[in-house]
Amino acid sequence: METLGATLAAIVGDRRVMQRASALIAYTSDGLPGYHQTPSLAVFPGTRDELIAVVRALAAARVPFVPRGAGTGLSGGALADGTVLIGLNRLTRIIEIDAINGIATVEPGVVNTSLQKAAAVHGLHYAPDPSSQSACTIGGNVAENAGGPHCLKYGVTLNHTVECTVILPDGEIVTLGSRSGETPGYDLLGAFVGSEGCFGIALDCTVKLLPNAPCVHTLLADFLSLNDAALATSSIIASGVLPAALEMMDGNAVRLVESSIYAAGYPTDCDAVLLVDLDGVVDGLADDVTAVAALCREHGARNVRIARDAAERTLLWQGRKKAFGAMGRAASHLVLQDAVVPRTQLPAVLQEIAAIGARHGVAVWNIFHAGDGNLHPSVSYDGDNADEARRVHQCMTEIMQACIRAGGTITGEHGVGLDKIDYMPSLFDGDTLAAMCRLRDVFDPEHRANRGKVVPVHSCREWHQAPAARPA
Amino acid sequence: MLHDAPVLTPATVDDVRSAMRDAMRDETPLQIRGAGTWRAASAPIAAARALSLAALRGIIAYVPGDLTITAWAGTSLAEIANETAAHGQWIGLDPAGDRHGTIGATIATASSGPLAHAFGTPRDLVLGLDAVTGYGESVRPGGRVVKNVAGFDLVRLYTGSWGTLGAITSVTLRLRALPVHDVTLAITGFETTRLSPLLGALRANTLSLLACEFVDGGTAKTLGISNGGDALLLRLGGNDAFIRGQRAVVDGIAPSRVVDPAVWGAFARLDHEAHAVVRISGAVSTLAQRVARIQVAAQQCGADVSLHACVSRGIVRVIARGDVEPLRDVLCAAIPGEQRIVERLPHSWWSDEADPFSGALAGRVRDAFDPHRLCNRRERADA
Repeated sequence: METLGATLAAIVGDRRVMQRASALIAYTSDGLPGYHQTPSLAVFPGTRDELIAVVRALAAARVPFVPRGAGTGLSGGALADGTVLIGLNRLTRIIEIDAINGIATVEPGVVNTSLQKAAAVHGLHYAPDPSSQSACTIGGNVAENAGGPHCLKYGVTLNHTVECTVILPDGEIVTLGSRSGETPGYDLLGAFVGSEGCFGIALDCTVKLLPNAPCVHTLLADFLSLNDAALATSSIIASGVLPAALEMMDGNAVRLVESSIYAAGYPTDCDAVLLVDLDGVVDGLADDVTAVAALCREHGARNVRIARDAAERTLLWQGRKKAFGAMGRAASHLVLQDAVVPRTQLPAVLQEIAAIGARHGVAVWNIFHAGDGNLHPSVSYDGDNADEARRVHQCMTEIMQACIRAGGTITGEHGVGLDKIDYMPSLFDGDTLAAMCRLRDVFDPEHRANRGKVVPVHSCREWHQAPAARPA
Repeated sequence: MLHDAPVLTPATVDDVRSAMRDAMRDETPLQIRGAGTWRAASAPIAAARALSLAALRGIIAYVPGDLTITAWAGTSLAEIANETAAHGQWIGLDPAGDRHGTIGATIATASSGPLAHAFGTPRDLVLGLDAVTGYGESVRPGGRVVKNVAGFDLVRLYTGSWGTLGAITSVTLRLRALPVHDVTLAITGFETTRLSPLLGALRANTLSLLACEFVDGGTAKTLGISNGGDALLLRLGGNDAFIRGQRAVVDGIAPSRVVDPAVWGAFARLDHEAHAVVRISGAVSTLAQRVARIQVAAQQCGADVSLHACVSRGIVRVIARGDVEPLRDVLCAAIPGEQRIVERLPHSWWSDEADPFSGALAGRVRDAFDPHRLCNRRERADA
């Protein structure tokens, strides 16, 4: 590894290669406490050419690697276990903002909000807005197919990425997609987005920028019953009104936020709040606001507060966006899931989550994208308490199984990574998992990029090791 | 060869798998097709048998409250439209062609129409699908929820794969609510030289449209919306206040009039009996120049051409009839910064067309899912 370190240092400089355990400790986990892996070495290229040279050096040495953006991921996906970690956080150049055509080209380490600020100058914005947007990178967003509250109306990263220049693990450079949005042949860009660093590394990403909505209304509805809030959510979706965002927080989460520096003025005696953004042209939008407020009241909302100005909207959103930060105060460890269920199933699934938590003596908090059915059941706990950790783990496993039984999936925006890999066989049959392995082989036949993530190793091993068992 | 070829019409997924495995055993390539309403499209296929998904039809699951629907691949667009309209919903896809075309073929060809302006293309709308690969195995990526990043994205891979990776047997789609009012406006009678400032004015104003299509003078006449000059068709969907306000915005840009929404049905059939159909896309800001370039070239060679363009996506669709040979340079030229998507060409032209489903990465994809090139093998030698 010393020889490799020297090779990489010759490319990026000595200061940009870390090999000492004390230096690598910062890269042993991502945004999801509970997983710890230590890379053998971490390298931080500062230019596109350096990144290309690093990947090609690793290819020549046939060394596995893990790409990492800001390390804010919530699936253990950017952890390197004895392999090389490639940090992309120095590649922060916004290469182009083409305001007329509504696209931007950026290096992978550009922070989401940096792009937002650059776009805002032109009255534009980049729609995907994960809660970690002040730290997470566009390259990471593309790798995870990240979402965010406003993806309910505007779509996830896949829907906003039009072209990526990608270096494959073997060092070949390919262009996937096109700036015009149409490309003949297979949608390899679609396959690349969300591939969790297993298919290669984006050297640059071209994404859509949308005009800012001329008018936005933010509503906060509070309920004395979580079930009523869930029923209100289902009814809003079924009504055909499409909010830009429709978020839910349960009473425990509300009280936690309100006791933190992120207090947003939510009523602390409620059992749930819905935070709803309605945006668009001014014409007719007031009717949608009225309709959503009426649906909330029909389903038991005690109050429906409509923000009067941008400052109040920002305040109300602060509570939601910083809720997971507030949870850090509750205990040393946090576990957070990312299941998605059909929107009509929300009331039943939330009840089941509560029952599962009660059965294991675990307080489960719900802060999530209700409009998408994208649940984030979360638990703060003491990971050093073995009994508590066991109960939390069992509780989370049962919650995930309940979501799958309800017709849902295991991840809506965080990715599979390490955290959800064990659930993959519950969701997909062997043939589908094997087909995913074959797609991975197309991009990375040696499985050197982020190996051991997304698809269980045995699925791929079975495919590779048993050719006789395959159809002739 | 295919005109007299036997057509297999499996009624179950197991039958599709059997057909695929038989093909593998006999080394007999298959043409994968839906209802066969659009067989003139795409490259000529070398196949001794056709595998039609038309018998695999019907709604599998529809939960209006979730705004999702799962249907067998052979289900017609008309059937899905009827089913969803009864609940005030639609799929937001209006590809060219017959409404009896199937949802499976729509997804396999990634076909969309003017509504892509608001709702995107099939890659944005498909939540999950089931397919039988060239190995004869069933794969079931994606799901029935509106947000899903579990596993590598085989859904996007199969969407737009033109049947080269196997047969899609069912799909799950995101639905949208039908608008309370659906109003189509036409701005008519302008010269192509006015298109650029007109599009600039549209972009500068706060419009929220379902569709925005440019149509050339001949097409406008065919559609019965104008007797001379080019036209813009603007589709608005929303409540009373929305329609009133947006109409005022449009009229502030240029005088418009309401036209029968049935115009979109006629629009979808514009390519009927065309001999060549090619989409040429590029920067939105250069759309007017692209339109003008193609119009001038078509006029110079006296070709029977109609044009329409999706304004927000920068795509010009060129529909040519009769003797299209003089137009070959226009339709086949590779222009830097532009993309060319071929929908239909004269048979003899295809041999000069690169196969987008072969080549480096694409060839490896095909090797991974249909190594024997059983499915929709191009007539000329495949890579």
